[in-house]
Amino acid sequence: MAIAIYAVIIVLSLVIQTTLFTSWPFLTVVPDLVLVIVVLFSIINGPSFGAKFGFAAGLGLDLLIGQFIGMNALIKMLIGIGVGYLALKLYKENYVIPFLFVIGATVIDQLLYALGTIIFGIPAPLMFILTEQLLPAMLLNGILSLLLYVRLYYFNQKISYWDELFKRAG
Amino acid sequence: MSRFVKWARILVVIILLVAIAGSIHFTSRSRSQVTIVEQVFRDVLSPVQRLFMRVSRSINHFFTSIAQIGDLREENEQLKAEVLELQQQLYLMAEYKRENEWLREALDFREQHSFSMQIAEVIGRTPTNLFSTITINRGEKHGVSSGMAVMSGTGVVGTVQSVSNYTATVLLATDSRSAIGGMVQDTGDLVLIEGDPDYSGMLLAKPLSKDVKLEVGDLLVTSGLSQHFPKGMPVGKVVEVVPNRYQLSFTAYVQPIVDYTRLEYVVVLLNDTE
Repeated sequence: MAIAIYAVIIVLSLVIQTTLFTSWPFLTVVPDLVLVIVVLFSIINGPSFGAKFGFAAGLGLDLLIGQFIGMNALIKMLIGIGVGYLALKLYKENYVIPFLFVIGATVIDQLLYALGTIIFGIPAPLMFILTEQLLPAMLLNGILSLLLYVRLYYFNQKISYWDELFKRAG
Repeated sequence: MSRFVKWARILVVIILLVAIAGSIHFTSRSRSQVTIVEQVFRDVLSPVQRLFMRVSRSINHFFTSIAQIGDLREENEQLKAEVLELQQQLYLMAEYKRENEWLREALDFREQHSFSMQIAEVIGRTPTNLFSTITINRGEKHGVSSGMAVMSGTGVVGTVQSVSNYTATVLLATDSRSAIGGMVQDTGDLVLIEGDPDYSGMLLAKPLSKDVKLEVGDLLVTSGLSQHFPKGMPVGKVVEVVPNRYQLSFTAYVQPIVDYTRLEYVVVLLNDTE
């Protein structure tokens, strides 16, 4: 049951990222909601979960983009593992931790994706990304993390509780 | 046994990484044919995307309307006057069209292209900042196929990049992978119109011969040399001409006619005949 709920969360994030977040002209960059939820759930549930969730969410994003399928899956899986391990020893109720992790993950995600496209043949404008996109992306993703972390933290506990109930009932 | 399990895990990870690298490489270029997994995924998500996009537009319109109430009345009066003037011009145009058809018949001209149209709603946009594409709710089942031209009421939007049964991905003209054959409306000089690789949202026009002249304010339209775009469709207006090194050639920055941030409905030109 938990898998189904996490799958719905991934699908909803993909839909919101391709519709709501892309249709407001005042947003100069698209907030990466998928990255934010990968980071937040990795902090909450650890590296093993982060790897699987990151891979699934990244793959969903790749299937919608239609190019470099596997790139987002790999990058978000690595971010999930990295964030999961680093967060193991940290106090999870602190708001600053997810904010900092999301900002760091945004930098890594954007640079790795640009590097990946260059390696596989499409020249990505690194200077444009560094000067025009990175800072707004970090800011937007950071704000999203502050808005979502507490809600996701307590929702995750409910998911575990429902999953336990479902297993006992089944 | 634990050593065997450890090596088995390492082998699985290596196989997974090789599979991912292969997938990335195979899908690194634009493809007209997408995999069945992608088709199913996009078709299943399409109705949900459409719902969210409509909600988003409603919110947008609501806030935009509030902000513009003061200007709307004045604009309404101006538009009413313009409508009357345009209606008169339409009657004249209908006369010219009839005269044109008689003349063509007299000179035995044939139509080189025949297009029927499929109206589509924009249900999604690129979820990343590196590519410029939109998703529309018409696909293979509606006669849409890769390479077809996509227009709005004002001008060129782009070309169909890939299709599923019920959706299609459209590569916008501003994407760096896009290239459209164009010409200067006034002079007929041929240019190549591409998306700016620096993602400025502008188009770049490059001359196709030495004696092409471009000036600020020139309107660029489609040249009609491709079988997908009819001739004379507005693409954009030249806003800056930048000479290249040694002044032997130049690149012009072109402001697109279409406002890509406000696309709600587009028209796909379905090729009927050669």
